[in-house]
Amino acid sequence: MKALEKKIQKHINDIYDCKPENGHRERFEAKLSAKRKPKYMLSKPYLKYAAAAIAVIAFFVFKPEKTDDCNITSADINIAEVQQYYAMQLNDKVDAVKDILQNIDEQYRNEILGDIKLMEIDENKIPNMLDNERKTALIVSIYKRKIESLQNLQNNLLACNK
Amino acid sequence: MHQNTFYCVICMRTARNMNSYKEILTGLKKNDYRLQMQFYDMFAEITYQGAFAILGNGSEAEEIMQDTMLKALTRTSLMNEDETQMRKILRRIAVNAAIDVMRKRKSYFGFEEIENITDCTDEESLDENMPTVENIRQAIDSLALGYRTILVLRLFENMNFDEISGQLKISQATARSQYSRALMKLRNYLKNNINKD
Repeated sequence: MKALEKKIQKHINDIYDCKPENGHRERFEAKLSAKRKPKYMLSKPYLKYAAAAIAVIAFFVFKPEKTDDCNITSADINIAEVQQYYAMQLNDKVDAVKDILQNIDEQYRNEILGDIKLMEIDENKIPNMLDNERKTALIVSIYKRKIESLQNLQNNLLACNK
Repeated sequence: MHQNTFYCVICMRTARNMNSYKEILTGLKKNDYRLQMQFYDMFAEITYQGAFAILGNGSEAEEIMQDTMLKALTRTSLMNEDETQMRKILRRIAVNAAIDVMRKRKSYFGFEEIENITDCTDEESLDENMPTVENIRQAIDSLALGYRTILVLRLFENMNFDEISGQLKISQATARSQYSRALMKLRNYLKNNINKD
């Protein structure tokens, strides 16, 4: 090894004996606190689920088309029944989540409730061009995703409450 | 061998008012905030220096250092019972992250492939002139990022050329030649600098 390399290695501690700028500890404390928050209280992960639910809804904008009363067919009635069945299940799930939300930090509760409300008022639209079978499948899929998201949210809330 | 001394920069200062490393590790498993900060105090500097040596930019190095510390604190799998090993792990994570940052820069390898660099300084004259640590630091800082990185990985991180080529995704031959060029440039800079002084 040549002299210069030797010299550099000899003084390696001094060459980059540098320190982070003042205030680095405080900046880290802030980052650490933000990271720790979820462990103190019920927190952000649930928002993710709520957000995911909303995203799903926003993605499949689903709204039953208005039909002329005189043209209602048995297929339309079947679709309405399916939708009603899943809507009931969804409502039950929303109620269950709302019950658990009573126990959590207000800020997060309000955020999650806001998300759920958005989910509830969201209008669903199903393209008219689909046949009845596909319409039904789409309705089921949309509701199942919403219910699944709420179920995940509920599980996580329960896990954190233990 | 030099690595041991390099890593020894760690904080004698930590002895004061601080728990032992073992106690800190136990506390970290319980998510103890105070001990998390002690862990930070213990390893922040060495981690920062690893990133800074590559990037030469304080704020980027701090960002990498803090991300590394957060990663370590939130992933217990990264924890090591041995303090020296822990230091090496954190430093290596920071160095790798710094290399990633560097790689994202379009012109990160300012290697001058066809450039004729003449080594106008022989070893003896350099020895006589004895560049100071400050001279050496300035000389390293003056290098293009690619040269600087190779030099740091070789001399500071004690990597062999096989490791360097893997890290930088270049061939071993390129790593060797670029290292030689980096040294030449360093010598040239030092010669000029010392002469001016």
